[in-house]
Amino acid sequence: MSEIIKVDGLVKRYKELIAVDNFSMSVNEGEILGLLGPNGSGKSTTINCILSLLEFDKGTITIMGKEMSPKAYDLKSRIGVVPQEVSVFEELNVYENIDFFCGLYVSDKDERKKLVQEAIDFVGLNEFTKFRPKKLSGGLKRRLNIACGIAHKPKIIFFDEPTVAVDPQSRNKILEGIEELRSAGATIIYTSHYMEEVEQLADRVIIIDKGQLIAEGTVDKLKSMIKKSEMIKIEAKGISDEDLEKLRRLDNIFSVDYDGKYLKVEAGKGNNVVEIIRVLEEKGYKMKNVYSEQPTLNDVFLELTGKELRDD
Amino acid sequence: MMFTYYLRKTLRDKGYIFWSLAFPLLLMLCFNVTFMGPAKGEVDFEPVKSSVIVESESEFSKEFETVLSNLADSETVKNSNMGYNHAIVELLDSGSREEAEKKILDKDMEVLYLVNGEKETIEVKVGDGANMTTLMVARSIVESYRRNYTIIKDAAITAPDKIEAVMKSLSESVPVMKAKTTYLGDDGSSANVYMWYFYSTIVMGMFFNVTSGIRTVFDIQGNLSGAGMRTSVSPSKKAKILLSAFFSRYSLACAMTFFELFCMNKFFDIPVGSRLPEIILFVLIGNLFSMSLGCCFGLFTKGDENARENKATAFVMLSVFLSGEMIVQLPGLLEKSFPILNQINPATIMNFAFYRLVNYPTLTGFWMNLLKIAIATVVFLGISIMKLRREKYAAL
Repeated sequence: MSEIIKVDGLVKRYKELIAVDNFSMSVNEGEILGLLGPNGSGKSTTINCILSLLEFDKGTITIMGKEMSPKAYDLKSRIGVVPQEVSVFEELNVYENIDFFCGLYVSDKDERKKLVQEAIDFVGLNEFTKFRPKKLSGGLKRRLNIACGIAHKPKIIFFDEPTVAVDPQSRNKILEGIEELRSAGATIIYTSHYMEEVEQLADRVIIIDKGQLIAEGTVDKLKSMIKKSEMIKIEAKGISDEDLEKLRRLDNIFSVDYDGKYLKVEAGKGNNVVEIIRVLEEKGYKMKNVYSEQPTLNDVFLELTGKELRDD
Repeated sequence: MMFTYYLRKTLRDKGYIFWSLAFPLLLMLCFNVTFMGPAKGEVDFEPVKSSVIVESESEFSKEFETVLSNLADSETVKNSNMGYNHAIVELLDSGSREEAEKKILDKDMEVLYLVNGEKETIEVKVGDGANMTTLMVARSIVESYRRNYTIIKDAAITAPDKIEAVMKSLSESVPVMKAKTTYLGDDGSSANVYMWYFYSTIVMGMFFNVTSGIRTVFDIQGNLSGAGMRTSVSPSKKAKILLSAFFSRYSLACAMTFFELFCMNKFFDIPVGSRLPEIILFVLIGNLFSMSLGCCFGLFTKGDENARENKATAFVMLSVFLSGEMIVQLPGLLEKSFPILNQINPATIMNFAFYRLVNYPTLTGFWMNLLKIAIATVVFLGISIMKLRREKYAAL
């Protein structure tokens, strides 16, 4: 896959605050790249620099091999943006909004008519074309927001946290839509602080914090970068401190917590569940439920930065 | 496409249409009911207790005394075309100037005219408690007399053979006429208050377009709104979007002002004069000024769109208030105590411009006022365009 976006050594300062700190990344054609980081980590700032909306202090940004600038109209015509906020005109109805924003890219009326209808079909707003945005639910507004950003069939689409404050049904619809767009050949840059979404969608993930690249790779690769490989949770009563200490001394065990009912064990790679159950059985403890969870991107983030990814 | 959508968007903005179109028309209706009476007749009033002190005699002072005597005679007034069936003034013997002033302070008399025949000036003294009608009658008498005396004097020089006909025609309208009250204008001329309220309302309607300027800025600035961000990242040239957004609103604003002027003239019988090219220019520059002012408010004040609109509206309200929209004597009072305010207050400047356009035989005052507004417009537009040209922002 060829490199469609390349960011090299990007630095963006707001007076004393360094929002993006020597950040480099690349996006391959046709992939979904997840840009993951907590609020204020520099995700949106990076995107806005790439879009040439924000001035930056250092670095280079190229799209399709050409330097991006406010006057790079040929590049801009191939880019679609779905902003974090629902960014539509309240006085125009659904159809008119999509037509207006599509019209910024496509001047031919007939072509635009076709594209607008396709966008409406794509986001499932056929029944609401005459509705003004204030009459739409939060989820439908988000879909309209997406339709306005993709109607002109861009080659590169930036989704900036498109599912914030969206009900699960609309969220699934949006995520399915994004996958469809990728299948149709679009390259997608998806920013979020919802790790589940990024895990579900992204071919590759970049973790960003305090404007710096923390890690990048596929979800599996990122998970393999950390020591912890599973969280084991066992429901068992009356485990003594002495036996807990025995568990702690087992190989691959990083931490053991017990609240009188649930035993929680963080473990590395290996046959951990079997080992733990063997020890507890030897001591005669009765176990009810045993769970084993794989590490999440939040665990990756936690291990790499020492803090939780989601701060809301 | 963009022009049509921006126009459609503005037309559907109920708040904007209300403040810029419906509210001025409603206000005119209120003024009409208040000042014209329910049947569009005259508001009746008691004869105003008045007196004349002649400081130096001349033809000017003698004629003025004659005019006042006529107005104090109910038969003369009835037989004129003034529309009243009683005397306009009640002439009192005041004695000396000091005695007359004491009578005013004691509220035994309402108006004192100090006439200087040599200098051909009339000073009007009224008490603190003088009501609007008293003020109106006093100012109207002086204004009408001054205007008509000048015409008669000019006629005597330029066409002495026609002086009789001129005097006959003027005697039909001397003085009071249909005006309600007047106050001294910025150059010592007087303004008819009834018209002034309406003109001020037209200016207010135009000035409410500051919100249109703010919305234009918010629609295209990527650092101010999501929609602005969308337009900024699009391949459409910013100048094109700016022109569409600005001129769609500007043309609507001008159309609304013309409609208000039409209604004012057609339904409320307020004269707009016959100088159509100047009226058009007045409307075009007035709206351009308010929109460019709005752009500056949108670009240089802090807060969200509503906060910036509130600040601009507050500024407009203050400006319009100081121009006499609610208290018609205010510009006159300011002229005496703080004249610079009248010189820089855009609403007052615009009001005077229109008043002069309609009522004055020469347009020098009109052009001077319009020039001030045009210069301010150029400055505001220049600053706005320089800022709006930016396509990349330091912060979002």
